Amino acid sequence: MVERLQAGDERAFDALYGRHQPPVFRYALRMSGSAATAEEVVQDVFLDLIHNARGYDPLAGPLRSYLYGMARHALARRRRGERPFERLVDEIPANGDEPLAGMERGECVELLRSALGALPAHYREAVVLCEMEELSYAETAEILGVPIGTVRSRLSRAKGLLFERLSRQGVKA
Amino acid sequence: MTDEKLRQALRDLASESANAEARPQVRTALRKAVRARHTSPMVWWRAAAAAVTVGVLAAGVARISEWPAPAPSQVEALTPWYFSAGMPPAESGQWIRLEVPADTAARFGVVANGPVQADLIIGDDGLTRAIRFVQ
Repeated sequence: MVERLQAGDERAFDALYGRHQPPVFRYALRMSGSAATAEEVVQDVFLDLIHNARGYDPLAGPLRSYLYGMARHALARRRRGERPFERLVDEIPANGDEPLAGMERGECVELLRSALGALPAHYREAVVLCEMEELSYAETAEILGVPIGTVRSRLSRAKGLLFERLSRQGVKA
Repeated sequence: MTDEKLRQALRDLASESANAEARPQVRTALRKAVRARHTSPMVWWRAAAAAVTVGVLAAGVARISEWPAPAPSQVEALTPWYFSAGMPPAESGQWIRLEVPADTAARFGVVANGPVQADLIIGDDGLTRAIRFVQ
C-alpha cells in the first residue's frame, strides 16, 4: 500500500490517510495543545511518507509506529527553542487537608490539561501514548526508541509529577 | 488523588479529542502532492532521457551548424523521439543540426559509413520531440 502511495496512487493515499491521519493528528494535538500545530505535523508526516523521505521499511515495524515516530520528530523540530507549549495555570496554594470542595470533573480535567502541558516532553509523550492513545508499553517503547523499562519509569515519573502539580492546586482523592 | 482517579481524568481528557481530525484542506493539499508524485517521475524521466541522448549525440558532434534547418527535400521523414508519446504537443521550438556518429545513427536504423547530419526538434519546454536525418 505504501509503495502504491509513493507511486502516486490516490486510492492508496485515501486508504492510508483515512486510517492513520486521525491518530497522528490526535497525538500531535495532545502533545502540542494546538490544532494548527497538529495539522502541520500531519502534513509533514504524510509528505514524508509520500516522498519516502525517511525510507519506511515494513520489516522494521508496523506503519502505525513509524508514523507516530515521524510525528514525534516533527513535534520535536517545532519544540526546539520554544517554551513549553502551555503555561501552568496560576497555582492555587495547597489547602491543608481539606479537599477542594465541590470541584467539578470538568475543572479537574482542565487542571490536568495544564499540568500535562507543563510536563517535560519526554514524560508527556509517555502519558499521551500509554494513557491517552492507549498503546501498549511495547509499542510505546518502539515509537520512542527506548526500552520498555524506560517507558514504565517515565510514565511513573510523569504521573508523580502530575500528582504533585494537581495536589498543589488542591485536587485531592 | 489516586492513580485510578488520575487515569480516569486522563481518559476524560482524551475523550475530548477522541474524534478530532485535521481539516479537509489538509487532505486536499496532500492529495495534490500524491498527484504530482504520479506525474512528475515520468516528466523527469523524459527530460533526463532527452538530456542524456542529446549528450550522447553531442559527444560525437563535430559541429553544430547554423539555423534554420535545411529544405525538406534534403532530409528524411521525422522520427518521433523515444519518449515523446503522451507528451503535450510543442507549440514552438527549435531545430538543431548535429553530426551524429554512425553507430548512434544506426540505433535509428540509418546505416552510414561515417558521421551523419541530423536535425533534432526540441520544444520550448526543452524536451526533444523528434529527429530526422539529412540524406
